[in-house]
Amino acid sequence: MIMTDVDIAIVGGGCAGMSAALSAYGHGIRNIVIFERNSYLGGVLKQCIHNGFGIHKFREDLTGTQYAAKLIDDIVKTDICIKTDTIVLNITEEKEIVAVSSKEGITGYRAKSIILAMGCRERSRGELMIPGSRPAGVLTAGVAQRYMNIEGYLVGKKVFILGSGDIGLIMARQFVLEGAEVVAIAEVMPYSGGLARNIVQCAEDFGIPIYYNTTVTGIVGKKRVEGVFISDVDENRKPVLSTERFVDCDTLMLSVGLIPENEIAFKAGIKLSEKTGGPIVDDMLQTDIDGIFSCGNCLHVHDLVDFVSIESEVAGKNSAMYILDKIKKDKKPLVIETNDGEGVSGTVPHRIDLNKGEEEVTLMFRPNSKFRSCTATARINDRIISSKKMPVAVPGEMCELKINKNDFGPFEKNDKLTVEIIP
Amino acid sequence: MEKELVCINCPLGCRLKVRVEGEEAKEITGNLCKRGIEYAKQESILPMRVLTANMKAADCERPFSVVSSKPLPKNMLIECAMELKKHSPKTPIKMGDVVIENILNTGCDIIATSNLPEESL
Amino acid sequence: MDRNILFFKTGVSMYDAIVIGSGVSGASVARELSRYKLKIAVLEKGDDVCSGTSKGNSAVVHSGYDARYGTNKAHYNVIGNAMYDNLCHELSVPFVRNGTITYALSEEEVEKLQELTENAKKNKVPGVKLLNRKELEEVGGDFGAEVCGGLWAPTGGVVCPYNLVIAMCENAAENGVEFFLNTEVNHIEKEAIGYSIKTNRGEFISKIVFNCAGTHADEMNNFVSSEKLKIIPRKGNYLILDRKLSGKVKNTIFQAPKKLPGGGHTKGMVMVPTVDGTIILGCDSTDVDDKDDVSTTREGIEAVYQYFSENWKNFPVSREIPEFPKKMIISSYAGLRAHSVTDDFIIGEVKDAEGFFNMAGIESPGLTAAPAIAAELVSEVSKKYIFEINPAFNPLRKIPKQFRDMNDEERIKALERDKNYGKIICRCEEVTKAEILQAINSIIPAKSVNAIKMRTRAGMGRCQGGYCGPEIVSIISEETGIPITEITLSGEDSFIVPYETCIPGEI
Repeated sequence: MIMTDVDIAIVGGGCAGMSAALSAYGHGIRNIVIFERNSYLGGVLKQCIHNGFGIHKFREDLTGTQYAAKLIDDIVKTDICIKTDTIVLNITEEKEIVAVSSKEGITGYRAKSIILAMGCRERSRGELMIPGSRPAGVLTAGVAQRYMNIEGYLVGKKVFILGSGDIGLIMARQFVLEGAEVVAIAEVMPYSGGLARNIVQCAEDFGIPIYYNTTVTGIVGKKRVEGVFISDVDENRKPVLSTERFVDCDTLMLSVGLIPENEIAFKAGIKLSEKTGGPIVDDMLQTDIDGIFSCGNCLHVHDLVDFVSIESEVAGKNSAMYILDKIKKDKKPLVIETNDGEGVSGTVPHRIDLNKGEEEVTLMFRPNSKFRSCTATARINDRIISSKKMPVAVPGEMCELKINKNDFGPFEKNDKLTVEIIP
Repeated sequence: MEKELVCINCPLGCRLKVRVEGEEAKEITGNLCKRGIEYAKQESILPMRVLTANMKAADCERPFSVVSSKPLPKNMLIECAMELKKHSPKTPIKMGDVVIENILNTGCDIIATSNLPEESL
Repeated sequence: MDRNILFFKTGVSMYDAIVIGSGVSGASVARELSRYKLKIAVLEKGDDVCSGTSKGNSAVVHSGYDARYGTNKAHYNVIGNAMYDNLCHELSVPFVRNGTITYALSEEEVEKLQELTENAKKNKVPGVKLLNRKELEEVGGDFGAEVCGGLWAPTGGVVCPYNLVIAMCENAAENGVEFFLNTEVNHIEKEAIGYSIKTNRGEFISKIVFNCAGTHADEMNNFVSSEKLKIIPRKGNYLILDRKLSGKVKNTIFQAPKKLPGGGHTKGMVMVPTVDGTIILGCDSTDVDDKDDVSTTREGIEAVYQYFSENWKNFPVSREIPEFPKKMIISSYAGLRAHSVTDDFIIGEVKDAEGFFNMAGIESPGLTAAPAIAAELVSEVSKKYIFEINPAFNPLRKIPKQFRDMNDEERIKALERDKNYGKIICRCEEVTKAEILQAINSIIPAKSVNAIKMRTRAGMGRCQGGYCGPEIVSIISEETGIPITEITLSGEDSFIVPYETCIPGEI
């Protein structure tokens, strides 16, 4: 196989991949290639026809399609090489890449740096082990969204939704505007995993009830969904079967969480985090393999595309710095690991190298329950390095805490930087 | 009367408290920026929403997406969505094209947010 | 050859032999029959072959130590097992003799295994040995501390059941057998010579009928015979673990058999490393009423889940993965076993119905035994009716290598042949558009999403069709001309996207 040399190879041409590419390009790297499995750039943004994107990044209220178009416009102005309809089959520790497409067949690349930007996938019915039959009409919100917005088809006319994640809420509104009935939304937790504004304008606006502490305990229908059984759950999220009741519907749509897509990272032997499902990265968003970076939803699932852009620009820049040999490779590492403390889950990055990268680091994490007027802190033992007051913190919205490497002070080898939310 | 609202201007979703007297919103708290105040005023009197939806062209099976040029009264969302289905413009449709002017006299235009046919990238 | 596959027909058709059902029994019989110069029809009520009992089981090719000596089950299990290497080779179906271990947790269970060892000897199962803790370690790896011994059966194997059954059907079709799908038998009448089979798609007439109707075999028998049969559908639930665990489990591992409250016993829970790299965990065993209801049950899934949560530590895989990997569960399914109240296979010509042959009550080890039963049964029938050998019979079914099994060189070559190998549709299982098109255009065409899934594994991976589902729907539509709104998950009205958007009208 002939190997083509490139500076940066980016796996995935969604928001993360494009943002990383543009950032690396802006830092002087020219030989960049993006691999995208779809026939178009933009990833899931292309099926997000709703607004609410871009307020942080572009200071404009855009639809997902418009947000994607802005990035695509910028990309086509550069000479970044775009390989659409191309799937990356493998990457290696030596940063070799094998990709396949109908047009070019099997192709090999040797990259100086790789950026992983594969996005995420949806949790399926299989993982939830919902008992019952296996009829048509059980599908995830993203699939329903793709059918509706890309292909122009409606998956059903009487929809029950399990999970109050954002895509599910957005789809609830779209179903109503398309003339379908949304019977109700069941959420196993006592609160929604979606953004507050989506609860208001997608469910409440249309009188769609959200049943909290409720889950689907059975699927009925031989060929097509004829209804579902739902039950209340106890404090351990276990169904209370005495409360089981039947709901008539022709579709069960699942919006029960997203999982970072890391098949090729896994195959390449990149270490993944149990908590986030994404690679373990340092504050440069570099994985445990030198020169391989990760960003966007394949690193950890974001709520807002704006933050995907911002994070991916960091990965793109550091990938460029890596190639330009500006990340102080020769400096001895001084690493401290981060650690989820009380009220916090899935802190990224997983380690911070005080001798490398930027002075300011953004810690990202999720509250593990609902908080009102609380404080997020990062501390080493009892020493608080950074803290920030927050009026509200909910699991559906990722939190940020900026921290400066100059504030760390001395620490012992086994010390950790603990991130927590205190009420 | 006191109303609790969630600001939908941006994803932060500030929890607003509004004291409403008659047709006027007084004393707004909980907002992190001044858009929250405007939102609370509007929302407690006449809620407005941006409409996003799909339309189909006369000569293409795939849909294209649209957005209202500005928020329209919430109670007209469904009516406007219904109106969209009655229109089937001809391709090509370019992102930014005004597909319907002043829909149902709301003062809002309906603007394409995708291209039809889809460009290759 | 498409003429052989008729989805719809009406009127009266005459055949030399008719097979009711296209599960492992029907497929085996059909293929055996195609060795002779006969006009043969297979009637299948599902929208695809292998859409009943044979689709959902543990995928184990049993060695035969378990079936009680002297029964049909024991006899055909051992013969069937020995046939598998050649059968799967002829049909290009992956088959692995990975060996079966049944482990014991107590002296009492060791005693039970001792009984089974003796039973195995009588059944003439090759190589069965009762191993102590140390010997077990050498054969099967590091079992949990509480495991005190195990029964080793080296001839035990694994096969993908629907892969095998579809392959047998395709081979039968290539050798001239006609398959009628969506064709449900409503009644059978004994005529002066032979039988008239009334279906929703017209009448079929034949002198010779093979009853391979799975859970419905009793109804078929009871139409024509005064010797009534009773088949009880016995349900088992299974979990499937991600292919990421591929290679971490070597042998098929059973718990020691457990007595059932209603008499008899079940082989109990089993961990099966499939030929496709996933791991099957199952199953419970519950008698049910509905002969077609393969919905999973809460109790069943919980029983399996609980067993493996609690007993994970007993299995050698727990050395590498200490806890039951809940997050690796990608799907669950249930299957029905066609249990006869006589607790044995019912095979042969029905006493008061000449030319009507039963292959009923084919429950575990039915998958293993069916090829042997069919070979013997058809051979006897051929002697009785003096069938003429079909000189054109070709036992080989050649299929192109799957993209996921190719090395880079083979992939480059495949792509030179067919550009569609460059379009990966199912990311999780690495299925290309070329393979989907092959399934759609195969001799028994796959026209539903599930039919394609069964043939290519597209949609069987960890995302369960999240990415490839819509792609497959549009490929089927493009290739067959069926409108998108009429593409089904599994035939009849199992429409996936029944409506178009943007239709004017009331909201």
